[in-house]
Amino acid sequence: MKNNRLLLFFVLISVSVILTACTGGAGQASSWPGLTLDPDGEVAYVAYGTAIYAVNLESFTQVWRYPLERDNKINFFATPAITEDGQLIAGSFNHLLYSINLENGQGNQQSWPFDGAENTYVGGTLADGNMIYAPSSDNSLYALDLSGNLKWTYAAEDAVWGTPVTDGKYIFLPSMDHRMYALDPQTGREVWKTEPLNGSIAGVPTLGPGGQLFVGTFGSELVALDSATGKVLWRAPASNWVWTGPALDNDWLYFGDLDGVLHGLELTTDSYLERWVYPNANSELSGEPEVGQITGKPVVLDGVVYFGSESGYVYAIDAESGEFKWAQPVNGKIYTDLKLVGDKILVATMGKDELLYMFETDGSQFRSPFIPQN
Amino acid sequence: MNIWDMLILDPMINILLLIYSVLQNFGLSIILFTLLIRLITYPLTYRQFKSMQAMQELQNSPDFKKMQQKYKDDKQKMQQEQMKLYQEKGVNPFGSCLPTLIQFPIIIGLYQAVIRALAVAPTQMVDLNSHAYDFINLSRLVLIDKQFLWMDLSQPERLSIFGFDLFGLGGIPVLAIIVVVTTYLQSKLMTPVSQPGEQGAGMTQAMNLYMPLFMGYLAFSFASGLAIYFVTSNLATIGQYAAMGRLNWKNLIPKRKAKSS
Repeated sequence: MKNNRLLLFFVLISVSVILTACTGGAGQASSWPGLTLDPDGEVAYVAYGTAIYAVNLESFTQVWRYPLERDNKINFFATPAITEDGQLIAGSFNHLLYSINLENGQGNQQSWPFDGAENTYVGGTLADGNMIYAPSSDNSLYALDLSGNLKWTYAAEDAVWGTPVTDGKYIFLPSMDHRMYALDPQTGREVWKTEPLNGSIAGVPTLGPGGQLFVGTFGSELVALDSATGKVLWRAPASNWVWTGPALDNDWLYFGDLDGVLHGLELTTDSYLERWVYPNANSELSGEPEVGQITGKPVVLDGVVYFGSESGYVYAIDAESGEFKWAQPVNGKIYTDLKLVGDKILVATMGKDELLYMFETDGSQFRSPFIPQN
Repeated sequence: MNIWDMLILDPMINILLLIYSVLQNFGLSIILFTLLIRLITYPLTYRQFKSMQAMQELQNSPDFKKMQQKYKDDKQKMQQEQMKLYQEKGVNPFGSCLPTLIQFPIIIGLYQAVIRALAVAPTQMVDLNSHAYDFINLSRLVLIDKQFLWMDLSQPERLSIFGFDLFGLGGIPVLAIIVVVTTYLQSKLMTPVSQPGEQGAGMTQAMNLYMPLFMGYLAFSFASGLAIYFVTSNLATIGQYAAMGRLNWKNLIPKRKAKSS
């Protein structure tokens, strides 16, 4: 009988452990690193999990981390923003928006952290002039001054996971309610909103030189809008969700989708031409590494497109022909937008230890990967 | 793709999404999904009942009691004889355990399916995208509304009444309490009336005590979507047994202790 009870106890505990281990406790959410560069390109700020790390990009070493002591209630997913007065603004999954001193990594006090949101921060914050625009999963965009005082709030119809962008005239807000919004930066007044665009909009829209606004949607397409009116100019179909807006280089657009396809589009006067997709018919035959889901925005440098994928590779593709140049593995999945640091490519990964990689344009590593120090 | 995802997780996620696409309410979708699971596993439930009944009859038979009396001082020999009797009468001593064991992968799969379908953060969302079948129009379904009554289905449930906080738990864990009560009722009502000292009675008592507490702990600690599954499943099982006319209401009445002479 004792054995039976022991067996029963063991089974019950096992189920409990499996539930916790396989799913991360009570629905523990997770996301990829949010990566921001300072305007001089000398320091990268990586918001990932329970901390934000400031990393010197020359030495690839840690300058500071925030908070100093681990706090499990804090969980940073949203890409931080840098204000012109030297604050790093980062939203956390605990519904708080933090302000951190860029120089020393100390949390600013005064009105911070801002606690007005009723849900998580997933989308990145926008800092423009003397204003901060923080989107929340509670459907709202919060506009604050640099001291953290709320100036206005705008409510969309569903959560906001995307990052707002501005052309200096309007704030463009993507929402999971399938719409894009244009708002007045000073008052939050709605200037226009689109009709539903066949799917949610996450990621970061891209502003075009001719007043276009390029938006990736869960409706498996890239949509070009007129930023003045919100009118749809054209739609480019993809094979799966398009998580974020495209990289723009002269008259070319480059974007990936969740089927692991990178698209190369050339803009025409009033539409586009799809010039190539990668992988192509030769990719598998040539033994090129398989591409996984693409969620991050690529970067373009000297006629080469660089992008990362969930497969854990960084790829270099010829920007005009779509031909494969090289692929390098990293230790972890890549979902974050790539960044250019001078003539190098900065990659944030979801590796167990390694958080940042820096590649030369020939695919060699600039330094050993950055591993956060606790 | 691994076997678990292919056989358990993906079908569960997609059936949940399919039901949600019709009902547009994730709490109701979990309830309907649970009823569907109970319907599919009904043959097992029925077999469990028959197996328990056969075991009960065998253990009350004169042959069994005579054998117990004969080998009461030799446990090993008694177990051998028991197994022999089980074989002779065609009774599988583990027959009633199988349906219970099958519940565990369902519980684990359902919990994962609920959490993944709700996709509260980007990583979960791209993961959901990779699990959804082609015929599911996922882009029209996300973000899934995780509110059901007063609950956030992705979080453990607590009911806050006028800010009342029971023992600092963040509210009253109503659903966990309901899970404990319904699991207790279910196990009590389904268990055949046993006599003190009867073979297996101790194990049954232990199950009747531990199982509700364990289920209550899971409901208390994990996403409330799982607790909704527990409550619905318990009530459905009680309903199934009631339909078979096999509920043992006598088990709910406390027995008087026999007077010691």
